[in-house]
Amino acid sequence: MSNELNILTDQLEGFFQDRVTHQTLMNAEANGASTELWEECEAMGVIHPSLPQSLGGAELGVASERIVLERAARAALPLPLAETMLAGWLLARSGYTPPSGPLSVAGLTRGANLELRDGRLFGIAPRTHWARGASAIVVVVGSQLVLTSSKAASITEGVNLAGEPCDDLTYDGATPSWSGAIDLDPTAMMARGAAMRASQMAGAMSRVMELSLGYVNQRVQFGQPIGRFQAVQHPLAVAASHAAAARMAAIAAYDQLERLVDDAESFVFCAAMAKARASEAAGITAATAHQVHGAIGVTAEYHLHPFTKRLQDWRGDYGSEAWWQQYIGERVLRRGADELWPSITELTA
Amino acid sequence: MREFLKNDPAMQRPRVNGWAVWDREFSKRLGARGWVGMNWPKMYGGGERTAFERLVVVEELLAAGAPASAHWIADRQAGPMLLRFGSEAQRAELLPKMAAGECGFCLGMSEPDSGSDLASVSTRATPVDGGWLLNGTKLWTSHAHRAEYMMLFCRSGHSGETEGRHSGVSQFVVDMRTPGLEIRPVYDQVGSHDFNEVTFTDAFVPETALVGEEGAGWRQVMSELALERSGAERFMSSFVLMREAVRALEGSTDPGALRLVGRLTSHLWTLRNMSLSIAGLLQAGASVDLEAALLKDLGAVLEQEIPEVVRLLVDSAPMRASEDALARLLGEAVLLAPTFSLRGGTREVLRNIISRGLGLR
Repeated sequence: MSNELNILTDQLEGFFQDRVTHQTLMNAEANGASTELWEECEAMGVIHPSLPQSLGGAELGVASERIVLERAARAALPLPLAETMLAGWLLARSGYTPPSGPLSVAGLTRGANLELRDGRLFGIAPRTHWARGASAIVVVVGSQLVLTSSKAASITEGVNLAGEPCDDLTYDGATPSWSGAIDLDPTAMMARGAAMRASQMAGAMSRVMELSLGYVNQRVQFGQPIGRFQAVQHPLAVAASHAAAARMAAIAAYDQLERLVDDAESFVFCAAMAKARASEAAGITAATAHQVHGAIGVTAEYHLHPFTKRLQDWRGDYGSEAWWQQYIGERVLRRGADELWPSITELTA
Repeated sequence: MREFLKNDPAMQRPRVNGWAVWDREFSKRLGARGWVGMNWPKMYGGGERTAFERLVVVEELLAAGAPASAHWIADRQAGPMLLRFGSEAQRAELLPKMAAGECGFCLGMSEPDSGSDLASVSTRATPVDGGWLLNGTKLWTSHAHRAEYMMLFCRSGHSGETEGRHSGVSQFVVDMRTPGLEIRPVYDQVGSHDFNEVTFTDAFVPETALVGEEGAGWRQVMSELALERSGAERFMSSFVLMREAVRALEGSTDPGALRLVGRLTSHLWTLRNMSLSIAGLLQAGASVDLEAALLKDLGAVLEQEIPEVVRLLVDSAPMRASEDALARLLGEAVLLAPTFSLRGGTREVLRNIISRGLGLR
C-alpha cells in the first residue's frame, strides 16, 4: 500500500467516526443527504480515489476505492459514495470526465427496461440509489452509457431498508446531456458494484462486531458480563470468522480487479464470489449482533441498526446471493469438473 | 504437478481426506521429484524453494485426493520443527530421508486423559545416564504402526505439575523400534487401522533424542501450531467429492443446483485466499494463531457441509464399495466427516481461541 494511501486510511477513520454520529444518520433518514457532509468528503479527496487525476480523481490505485468504501461503511456514511464511484468509473472508462457532485447509476437493477430511440431515452429504472439528489445520473442502456440530469426522469421516491433514497425512475423521451459506448457488458458493470458492496459489507461487519463485543463485555447479567458465557462467546467467534472471510473476499476481488484489467470475465467471477460470500456473512453477522444485544439492539436510539439494516439491504444490491451464486454455478458447470480447481487457483493473487 | 498426478498409478482412485491415507511408494515418487521438503536447505535434502511453491504442491495433492500421509507430517511439521529447534545431528540424519519420502513421522500428542487439554499430558521422560526413560500412553496416534519416528510431546525432568502447566514439557524424536514402545491398533468406524495407542514402559531414548530445549516443549509446539492449522488440508479434505458432484451436474440448468455449487465455490475461493494470506503473514514472521483458528474453524465447516450439499444436489446413495465414484466418495466423506472438526484442535477449542482473540476470555 502506498504511503499516501496509508495516510488517507488513517485520516478517513477519524473523519468518518467524528462526522457521522447517530444524530447525523437520523437526520439523513429524515431529510436525505447532507450537502455539507458531501462537500467535506470532496475536500478530503475521497470521491474518486482511483480515477486518474486528469479525470478529476486522486489516482491512488484501485485498492483505494475499497479502502474508502470500507471505512465509510464502518461509520454508515449516509452518502452515495459507492454510486458516485461506480458512475465515475463507467464514465471514465468510456473517456468522459465525471461531473462533480453526487452521482447515481440507473439501469443495472432488476426490472430495468430502457431504450434509446432517436437519441432520446425511454423506459423504467427501478430502485435507483440516491437518484433524487444526484447532480447527474449515468443510465446504462445495453453497452451504451447515457448521462442525464435527475430532473430528466419522473421520480417515484422510495427508500432502501436503511432509509436511504432508492427511487423508481421513468424516462419518457429525455434528451441526454452526453452519451457514449462502453466496452463492457452490464454484468461486468454490475460486478464492479458488487465488489463495492462487498467492501462496504466488510466495513459494516467490522463495526457490528466491535459494537457487539463492546456490549457483551459491559452488559452484566447473572452477576457477570454476558461475554463471559461460552454460549455468548461461540456465536460471536463464528460471526467474527464470517466477517473475516467477507473482508478477505472483498480484498481478493479488488486484487484481481487490479490484475485483470483486460479480463472482464475473470474479474466478474471474483466479484461474484466476493459478493456472494460477503452477503452470506452479512446475514450471520447481523443476526448474531442482534442476538447478543437483546432488545436494546432493535431500538431506534441504539447505534446498531444503521449497520445491520445496511448489511441486510446491500445483500440484495448489484446482484443478490441467488443471482451471483447462480452465475458462479453456471460458470463452474460450463468449465467442467476437472477445471474447478484450476479456475480457483487462476483467480488468487 | 497436475500432469504427474494425472499419470501416477496411486491416482487411479482419488480419495476424500487423501492426505490422511498412507502410501509410502507414492511419497517416495514425490520425494524423487523434489516435492517433499521443498523449502528446506539443500544441504538437508531440500529444494530451497519458497514456502509458496510448497503450498502449490500441497494444494495440488489435496485437489487430486492423493494419498499423501506417508510424508505429510514430516513435510508440514516435523521437518520445520527440526530445522527450527533440532540439533545439527538430528537434521543431518533425518531431514534427507524425510525429503526423499522414505521416513515418516507420527505425532505423539493426545493421551487417554489429555485430548483438547494438551497441557495436561502425563507421559514422562525421566533423565537417566546417557538419555531418558519414557513412561506413559499416547492415544489417537495416527500411523504410529507405519511411521519410522514419533515427534513426542511429554513431561520431562523434575519440573512439571508444581510449576505452570505449560512448563516442564519437552519434545523428543523417538525411533518407533525403541524397546519398551508398544503399539496397539485402534480401529475406526470405517474399519481402518490408522489410530493407535502407543505405550512406553521404561523405553530408553538417548540424550540426542531431545528436540530443542528441555522444558520448552510447549512454546516450541505452539510456535508451529499455526502451520498445522492454516494449511489447505483444513478446508480441502472433501474437495474431490465436490468435484465429482460438479461432474454429475455438468449440463444442468437447474437454478437451485447452480446456486448450491456457486455458494460452495465462493467459500472455497475465499478460504484459499485466507490460507495464502496467512502463509504470507507466517513468512513475514507475524503471529497468526487467531487467523489460523478462524481458518480452520471455517474450513472444517465447509468440509462437513460438502457431503450435506451433495446429498441435495445429486440423487445418490453413499456406498463405500461402489464402482460409481460419486457414491463411493460420498460414502467416504460421510463416515470421515466427524473427524474434520476434531483433529488438530476441536471446533470448541478453536472457538475459545477466537473468543480470546476477540477479548472475551
